[in-house]
Order: sequence, then structure tokens, then C-alpha cells
Amino acid sequence: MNLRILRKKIKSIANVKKITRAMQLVSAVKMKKAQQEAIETIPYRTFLEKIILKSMSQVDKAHSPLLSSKTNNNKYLYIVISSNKGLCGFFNFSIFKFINNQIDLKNSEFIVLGKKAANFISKIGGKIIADFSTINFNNAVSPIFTESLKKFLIGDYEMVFLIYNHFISATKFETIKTQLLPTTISYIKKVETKEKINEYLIEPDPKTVIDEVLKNLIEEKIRGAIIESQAAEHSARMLAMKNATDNAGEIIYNLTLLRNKVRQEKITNELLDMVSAKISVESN
Amino acid sequence: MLHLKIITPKKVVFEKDVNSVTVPAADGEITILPRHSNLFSLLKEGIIKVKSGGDEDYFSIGAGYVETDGKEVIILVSRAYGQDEIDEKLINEAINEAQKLLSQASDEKSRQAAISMMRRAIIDSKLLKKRKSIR
Repeated sequence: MNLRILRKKIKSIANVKKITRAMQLVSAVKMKKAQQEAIETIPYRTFLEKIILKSMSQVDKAHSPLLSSKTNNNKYLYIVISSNKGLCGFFNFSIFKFINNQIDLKNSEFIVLGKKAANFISKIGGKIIADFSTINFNNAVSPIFTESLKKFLIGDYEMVFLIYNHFISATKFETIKTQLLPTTISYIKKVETKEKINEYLIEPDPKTVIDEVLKNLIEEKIRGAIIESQAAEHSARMLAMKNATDNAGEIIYNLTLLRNKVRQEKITNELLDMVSAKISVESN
Repeated sequence: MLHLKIITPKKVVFEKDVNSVTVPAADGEITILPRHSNLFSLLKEGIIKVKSGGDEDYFSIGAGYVETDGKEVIILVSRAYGQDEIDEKLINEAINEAQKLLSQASDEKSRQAAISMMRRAIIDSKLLKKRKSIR
């Protein structure tokens, strides 16, 4: 290998390392912010669920159209949350794999958030009814909610699901599917069975209240999922960039070693040349 | 004493032990005192008044819910601003902006948006006037 090419390579990889390192730091800051946001949205949702549970004892399933499916045509709507940008490890890939393995494309339609998922789904032949990738994700909550609720209420779909990367910790996330509509409350009951349910005075009346509260809960679920997915995206990107930085360091180390070897070889060769030239001159 | 929590989707805005809370419920204003019977009610946009000791605190809120069991009051609202977070200049700007939008609005949807924007701004300005009268 040529010494000059080696030097050039080392330099360019050092530059790459600088960039990946900067991206890692930026993602770390963004992740902290998103994580903080994700944590701060939790109280609202938990209290909302508590209230629903408490008032549920006085409410019948028939009170709200959100509690049961209109049809059973086996058609499902999936709301898929991915990212617009790449370079975030297996963040998007994890979602693709999930869709590929678990979802039957024939009777499914999708609402997507994030260009990566939009590209993937259209490639495998899924039907996308709405794409909210181009607007700010946080502003997409209410259009997604309105759209999916409208379609559910007129009986286009039997069920509506959310697919997103659930943020577990700074280094861990998991792709999950949660049921949005019809709203189920059984999972809340499991947690709260110990709490005694008292008689509640509900104003103006349970029927109006429950509809309102359930809608709010669904909207908050979408919002929570988007925020969590963002936190997961940043953490995935941070990890990917950290790995890239580490790998660049390793490559630089190996190349430097090689460069030194090549340089020494060159010097040795020059010395050999000189010595042999001297010998040949002297022997004459 | 009542333990009051005011929570918005973004964060917990206020958490404190208080003497009484006055909220704009769907059927009119109600004041919640300690040992209130169990209640769950819808809230309209308006102003929350919180009394604790000799102090009074005001919050301008969006629509939401209130829940109490006599010991604890939980208020879930779409937005809540304390009296110190509101800027008079910004509110006046918002009112003007809303009026302008209202005069230009062509369809029902944008008209509704302008009206709700105006309503929010007016609530905020009411809160501001209240604060001034106390001082």
C-alpha cells in the first residue's frame, strides 16, 4: 500500500469520526429532552385511566360507541410511527420486521408517521390511507385521532392499532402493538382491583362524560406513543453513532499501525539501496 | 386540607395542599372544600381559583375534568397557565389577531378556530384583571 493513500485514508476517517461523535452528542441531548417529555406526560394518562375506571362502574358498554366494534369485517387499521431520518441503527428495521411478521397485508390499511415506514409499506404493497410524515409529529396527534376515529365510527374497520417503538431505557426499546379502538379497560382493572370503587356523582351525566373521557384517553395514547417513539429514535441514533465512533477509532488505530509499518519499510529499503550502492561502488 | 393536583398533557402544573378550589364546571361554577362528596365533572374553559392559607392563586385553563374524593382534587385540563405566566401584551396581540382572523374567515372551520382563539385570550385577560384587583 502507498504511504500517501494511507495518510489520506486516515485523515478522512478521522473526519468521519468527528461527525459521528457530534451526532452522538446531539442525539444524547435530544434523547434526554424527549425522555423528560415522555415522563411528564405519564401522570395525565394514569389519572385519566383511574377516573375512567372509577366512573366505569356506573356506565354501560352501550353508552359509548368507542367501547365496541361496529362491524366484524376483519379489517384493521394500523397507525405506524417510525422516523423521517435514517442513521438510527435498527430503530426502523425493528418496525419493518414487526409489520412483516405479524400483519396480514390483505385486510389491513395504514396511517403512517415517518418517511421510512411509508417507503417500506408501499414497497411491500400495503395500502396507506394517510401519511403525516411532513408535518411536525407533535402536531399530527389530532389529525390522526380524528381520522381514525371517524373511520372507526362509520364502520370501516373492526379495530384500530398503534405500532411504535416503546421506550424502555436509554439503551433499550421494543416494538409493540397496542389496541386503540375499541377501547378496552380490562388492563386497567388488573392493576387497580384493590382500590375500592365508591359511588360517584358524575356531572352532567355518565353518558356524556364517558364519551368525552375515552376520546381524550385515546388522543393521549397517540400523543404518548409519538413522544415515546421519538425518545426511542434518539436513543437508537445515539447508540448507532456511538458504535460508529468506536469503529472509526479502531480503523484509525489499525491504519496508523499499517502506516508506520509502511514508512519503516520504506526507510529500510532506502537504507538497503544506499548500502548496496556503496558496496558496489567500493568493489569497483 | 385538600391535596390539589393540576395536570395537563404536558406536565404537572401545580401540586399543593390547599383550603378550597373553585372551578368552572359544565353546569356552573363549583367550589370544592375538604370532605366534599365524591364527584367527577366536566370543566369548561375558564379560571380556577385556589385558596391556601391567606393566599389566592389563579389559573387560566382549557376544557377538562375535575375529580375529587374529599381528600384529593385532581384537575385534568388541556392547558393551564398560572397568573405569573401570562403576558398582557401577548394577550392583547392574540385578541387582535383573532378579531382579524374572524373578519377574514370564509368558511365555518376557520371561523370556529378564530372564535376559540379569542375565547382563550379573553379568559387570560380576565385572569389578569383579577390579579390586578387583588394588588
